[in-house]
Amino acid sequence: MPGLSFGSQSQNGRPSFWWIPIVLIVISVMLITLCVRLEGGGPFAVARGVVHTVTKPIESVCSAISAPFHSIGKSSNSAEVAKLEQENRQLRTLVAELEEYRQQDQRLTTMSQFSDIYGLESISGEVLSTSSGWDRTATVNRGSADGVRVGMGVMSSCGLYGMVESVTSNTCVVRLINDANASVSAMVQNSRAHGIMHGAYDGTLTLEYVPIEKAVGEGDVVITSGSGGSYPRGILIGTVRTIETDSSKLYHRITVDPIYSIDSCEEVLILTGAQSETSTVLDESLLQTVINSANTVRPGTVGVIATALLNGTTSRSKQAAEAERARQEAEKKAAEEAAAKARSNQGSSSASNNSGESQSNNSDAGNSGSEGGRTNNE
Amino acid sequence: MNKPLIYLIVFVLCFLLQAGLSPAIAIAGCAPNFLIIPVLLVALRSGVGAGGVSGFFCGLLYDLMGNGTIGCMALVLTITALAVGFLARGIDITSPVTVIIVALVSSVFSEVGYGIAVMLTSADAVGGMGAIFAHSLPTSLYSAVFAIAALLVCGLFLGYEGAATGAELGKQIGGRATKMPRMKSRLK
Repeated sequence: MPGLSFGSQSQNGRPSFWWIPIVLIVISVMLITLCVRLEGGGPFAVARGVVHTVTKPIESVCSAISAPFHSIGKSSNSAEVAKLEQENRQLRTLVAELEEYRQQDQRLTTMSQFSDIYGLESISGEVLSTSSGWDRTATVNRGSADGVRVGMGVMSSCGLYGMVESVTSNTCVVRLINDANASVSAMVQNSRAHGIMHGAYDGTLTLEYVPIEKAVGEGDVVITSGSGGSYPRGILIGTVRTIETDSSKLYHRITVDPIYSIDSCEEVLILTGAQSETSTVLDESLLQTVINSANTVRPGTVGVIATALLNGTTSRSKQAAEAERARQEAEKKAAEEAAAKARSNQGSSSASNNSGESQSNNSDAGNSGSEGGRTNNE
Repeated sequence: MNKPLIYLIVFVLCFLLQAGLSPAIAIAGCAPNFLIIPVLLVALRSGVGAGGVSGFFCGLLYDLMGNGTIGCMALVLTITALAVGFLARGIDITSPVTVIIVALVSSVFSEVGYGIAVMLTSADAVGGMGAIFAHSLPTSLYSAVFAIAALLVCGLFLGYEGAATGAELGKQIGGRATKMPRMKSRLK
């Protein structure tokens, strides 16, 4: 092949240096291998953090610059604008703003209640941007300065959202649960069948490794199982859409419909820690509030989810109440027994003391008295 | 105009557009890749070596700006630059039709190649083929629109000077023989 010697000249007399891209291709393959082996951590995370720190302000500035242009495009500017029309527009803007605040308030209230339901310590955050191509991630306006750490779970007002993947001082990147590289330990609520939930490049959710002997029905609610410790148990993920058998014929392969549109979420809760170990007994009134708010997101699924969740919650509440009652009874019985024993001990000790005293009075040596003392001790 | 200076300006502009504008103008999750522009420009105008370096560093920057596996876009853009650099030896790079075809093919190759690289490096490739059609192809067309416009505009500044094609050589031999001694002697 002409011109393929090192530094040879091409047709126009310039050196070709064809070997440079070959070397760079080899370096790229090495980088990919290292990145996969280190799972994007180590020096890669540091380099990415530096680049993100540089590019995020540029992104913010560009979005701030483009925002007024968007609003100009949306507003109706006519040549003859009367004073009343102007006032009308201003009022409409105000109403829209207030409506936005009202909806935001509703979402935040629901989220705080959601946090209360699960007994979780959390901080709220706003989604700055999302990427929904090969890489389904979201940038949230909370960072290490707010106590966010890599690996923390993230919830939205309606259910599970993702996990913190990288953190800068003021922002964090959350990998969404429907990303192809995301996996969540989950279970079907009715049958308590555990499995692993995977995302996919097309944004679908798949629950795998559910044993085939477990009964799973379409429309069943899927929640987090709490295994692995990344997420608390009982966070809503979605409902079962289709059930297939995988190639090994040992497990179900279940497609799950998320309860809400994960990509269009605006506010999130970052789970900084759990107050209790894993709260599974839910407050029914609060849960009802969450379901009502979810109704606005996707009305079709709410009936199923409400029934299933409330059934599960009620049965678990009953179980918990029974367990509590049994515990209280056992405690009461134990206290009574202890009191009876103490009374009997008191009676016997006073009797032995009396006999000891009489014996010591009667004998010369204190042997009998010491025995009495031993009896008393016993 | 000074060629390295134009390359630098194009690179800085494309970096700013990629960091700031690209997420803002994404349509249905498809954001254009502005960093392919300097790669194609350098590969077409300066050949395989410089194009490869440009492809590697632009790809690495793209990887670091995103959240995927680092090295995937660097690999794909280096290969793209290698192919375009070799191709540029035998075609008329000043023709708008050539620029359009090169930009379109390179863009599709780089986006589909990136998708495949991402799938190969991830644990689970469920829904990957669907995503190539639903995401990679629209993204590549979107990127190609900007790449074509940018390359045509850059062609106005760079003109024929320093281009590496046979068609251009014919034009250069008459007026600028001193710059092309080897080719002139070969033609004689």
